[in-house]
Amino acid sequence: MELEELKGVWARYDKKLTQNLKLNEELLRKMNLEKSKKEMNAPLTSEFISVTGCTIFLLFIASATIRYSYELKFLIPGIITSIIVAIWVYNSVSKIKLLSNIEYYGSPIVELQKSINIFNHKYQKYKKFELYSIPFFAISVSPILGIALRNFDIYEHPTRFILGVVLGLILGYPVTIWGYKNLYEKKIKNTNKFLDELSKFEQEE
Amino acid sequence: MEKDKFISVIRDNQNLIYKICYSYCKDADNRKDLQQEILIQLWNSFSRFDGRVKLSTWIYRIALNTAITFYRNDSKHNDNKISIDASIISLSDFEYVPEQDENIAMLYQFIEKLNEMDKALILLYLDNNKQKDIAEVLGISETNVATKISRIKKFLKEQFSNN
Repeated sequence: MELEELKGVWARYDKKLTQNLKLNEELLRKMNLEKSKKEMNAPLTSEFISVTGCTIFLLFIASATIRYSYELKFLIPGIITSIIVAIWVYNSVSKIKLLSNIEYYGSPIVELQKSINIFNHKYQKYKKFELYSIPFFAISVSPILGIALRNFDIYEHPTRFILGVVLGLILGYPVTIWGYKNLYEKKIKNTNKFLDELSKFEQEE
Repeated sequence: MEKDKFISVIRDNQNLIYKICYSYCKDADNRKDLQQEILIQLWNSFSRFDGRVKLSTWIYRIALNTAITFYRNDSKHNDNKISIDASIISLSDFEYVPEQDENIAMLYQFIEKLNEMDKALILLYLDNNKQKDIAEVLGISETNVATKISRIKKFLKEQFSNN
């Protein structure tokens, strides 16, 4: 059967659907469409919360680092923590920027799918950094947080500190790598594959 | 008032939504979810429709984009959905079952074999849209649409000769 003939079959099918399809108006009215509108913005809201939370934390850590900057043992972890948190803030701001630039309702299919998948690609890349930086963050934040919040010098308890570092590196990293491989690696591959497909689809053959 | 207008638009285009859902989802439960997702997206954008493009172009864009995104979503679950049991657009009780129509079943089988983007293209083509309109919905050139249609025709011939 040729594609043109199938067009005829499709037109007859469409006619039958017109005769047989029914729209449940009551159900459509009952659907809380306004609520869903608000829920659509959930990813953006979550990123805004993340930016706010991380910025407040960054300011706190930065000021604590400055306060204890006369001691190298607090200055170095303070700087490392500040850099990690600053990158988290930067990533969240980039995500907000990308999300805000997606034109959901006015774009042609190829353009919108590209924007969505470029966002997904970056999101997964940022997640990778976030996951991999958590053990480092945990190690670097403890001295500065201990001294700033409770006036507790972790270096006076080397066993605890070494235990923390060992746990962070030996236990934290395998868990992080496992988490990344299971949660994101496949998604990144799929996203990249689809972005390639979209580029090929866009190109004239 | 706006909801009445929206319902009227959906009523006029329910065939299109039904066919898109059927083409992108084999599973009945997922199909119900996709239908709901499309209606939510259409409602969210309803107030922004300014008539710069044809109403059908607007519906195709949103419905197909939602279907492709839904199809690519691994979990097929979306928190935006409100739990409802029945389908909003469904076949009447004295049912015409598309799967029982041999030609339609065959056509859906053929559509199933295409990738997400080609599915969108063929649905637009089968619905008798002009190449210019297909190009506008997809965001590719008219020449590209023509080339892709002829490639799909070739693929279709092979499929039928294999059967």
